[in-house]
Amino acid sequence: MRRLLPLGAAALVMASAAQAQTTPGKYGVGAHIGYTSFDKGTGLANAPFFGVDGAYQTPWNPLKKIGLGNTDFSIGFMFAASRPLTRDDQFPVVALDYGDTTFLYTVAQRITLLQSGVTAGAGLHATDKIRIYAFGGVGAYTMFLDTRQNLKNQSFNHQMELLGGGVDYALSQSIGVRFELRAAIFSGYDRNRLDPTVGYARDQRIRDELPPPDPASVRPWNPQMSIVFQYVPSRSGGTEGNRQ
Amino acid sequence: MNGRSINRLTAVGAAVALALVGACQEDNLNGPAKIVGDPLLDITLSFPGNAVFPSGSFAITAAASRDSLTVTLANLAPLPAGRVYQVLLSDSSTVDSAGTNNVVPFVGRLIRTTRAKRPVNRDSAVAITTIDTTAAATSLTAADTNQTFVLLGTNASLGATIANYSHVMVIVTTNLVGAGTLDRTTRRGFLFGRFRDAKGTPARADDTFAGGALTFGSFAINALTRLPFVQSGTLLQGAFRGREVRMTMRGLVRPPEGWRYAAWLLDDRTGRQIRLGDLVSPVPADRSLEDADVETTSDETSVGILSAQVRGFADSVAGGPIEFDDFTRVALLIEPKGGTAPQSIASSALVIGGSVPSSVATRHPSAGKLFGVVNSGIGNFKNTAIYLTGVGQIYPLLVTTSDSTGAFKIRSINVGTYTLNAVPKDSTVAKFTGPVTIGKNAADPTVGDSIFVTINIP
Repeated sequence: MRRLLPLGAAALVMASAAQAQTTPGKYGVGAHIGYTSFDKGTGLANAPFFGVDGAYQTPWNPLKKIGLGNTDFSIGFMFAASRPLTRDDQFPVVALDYGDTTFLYTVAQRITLLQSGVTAGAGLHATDKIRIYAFGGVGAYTMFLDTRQNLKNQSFNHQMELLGGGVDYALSQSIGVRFELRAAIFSGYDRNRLDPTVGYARDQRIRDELPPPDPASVRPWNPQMSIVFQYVPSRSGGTEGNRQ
Repeated sequence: MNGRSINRLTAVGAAVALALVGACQEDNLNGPAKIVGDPLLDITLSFPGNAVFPSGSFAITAAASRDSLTVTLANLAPLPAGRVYQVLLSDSSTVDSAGTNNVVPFVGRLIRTTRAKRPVNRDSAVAITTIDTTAAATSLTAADTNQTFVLLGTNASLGATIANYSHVMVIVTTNLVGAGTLDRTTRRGFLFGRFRDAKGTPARADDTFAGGALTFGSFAINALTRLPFVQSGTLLQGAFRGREVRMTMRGLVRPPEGWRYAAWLLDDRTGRQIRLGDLVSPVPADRSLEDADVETTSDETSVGILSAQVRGFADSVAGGPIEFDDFTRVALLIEPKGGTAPQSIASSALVIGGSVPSSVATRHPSAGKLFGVVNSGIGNFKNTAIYLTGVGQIYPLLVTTSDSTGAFKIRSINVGTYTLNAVPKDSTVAKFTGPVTIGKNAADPTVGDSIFVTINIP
């Protein structure tokens, strides 16, 4: 029992510190390490991503105005970068002719995908340490194609919408870990732009070498799962955890 | 653990996780490319110059009665089981007369000439011509390019007035066709010719009669609907690929009515022939184009087949499994369709063909040897002519003669199965016929085997 008392006291301290992470007027930043499960119609293979986000807890909280206490409201930004491969079985097969022998190749390319946007979110404090939150946002995605395979610098960007949510677990007043799931919705998506092959090299003979590609998506929903390491600095230069 | 330690541990954990995820990217910077499947061993396809298409002629008697017509047919292709050739007469001038039969079967005396050849010895051969006659023949039941058919029909044999008809045509059918009608636009038959010109008038007084050559292609009463057959095709491509051979082409002319395209593998060394299968529409449909002579689908125009392919599989082909290097040529040809079973002998009506590429052919074992001895009950075994033909073939491939002891040898013989024939001296026919197979050497499968055979002639 004596051992449990200090642990209980420490938990109370951390709980109160965790609640301090979402104090109105504060801001926090998070580092994402995640994985994108691309819509099959994008022609992209699933890939890890890295990202950052930031959120400002606004003093104004519309949820409280409708009677939901123990909630918070924030606005913020997000940025993510990944280097997914295109799925080689979604694009034409290339034939390379060596005299009387022809080899067929599938060709992929590694692209650079950047996502950025602004978000607005709301959180519900389930316990003193656990916060459940949801957010939505809008931004843009940019794809940089492989320069060597396309023989030129080529990129394109379109609008992106975000919908997501997660669970925030506070380790201290300044540090937290979030488990986040969000959908990155790509508008104006054109899978054909990712085709790294050129017309004259495409095989015309063995057209059934690969099964038919998945139906193309023009507005794919791409789930992204991530672990977020969150940091909430204090206004005095140190962390509030340091001052406990 | 205080707050500072937690902060540090969290930062270190994040950095380690970043490094681990970053290490997962291992592909080449110039982009990943993967070989898929077996390489394509290309076949150079072209229009064979040695194609032999059905041909024929017709002659109508010069007598004013115009009561007899002679039709000569040659180079008819082998028929599938259950099908026959039939000659019909049709009249274009009465096509629009309701209730009038404008088609009548041609019945007459048939003279069939069959040519064969067998060697006497290594330096000379004898040509054998067999002529047989059938009275009141209604159809031709078997044919090959070594046969010529002459049909002589009269008003009496037909039970109709030949001069009332204008065209002669040859069809492939299962059941013999009786008197009937043929409308203007329906394509019918594969050989046709006109022996009466009605001059576009209903009056018979101005009609003219003439003989001529038959045209190979689909007949129709409307001249613009007729479709003479020619070798055709563009974007010809073919390749062996693993256990599959595939050819693709565009712009083939529709086969004559009653005919179809088919692909065959042919071995000029042994005479072996394997039917790969029908022409099919492009993947992924892979629909048989056996009825491309008459059907109306999106794969065809009124005169041609837009795009097509041949797919043959070494393991599932009839008569297989086979090895592609056992053959020297691949051919797309036309042959009569229908029946209960496809032909066992390839038609000579070749449309597109090509040699098996060296990348495949060089897998074939080198030649073996054949030794043997002739035993004869009458002791007359010297100078026996020994010759080999392909299975089901009539023309000799290899010839030798036995020496004074009855022994014979063929020093170089390709791996394969043959029919061995022996014709004793002073005989005109083979007294021994049997199969012989030259296999691969058991110790070294890259060379053919050496075998010894004993021929017993009673």
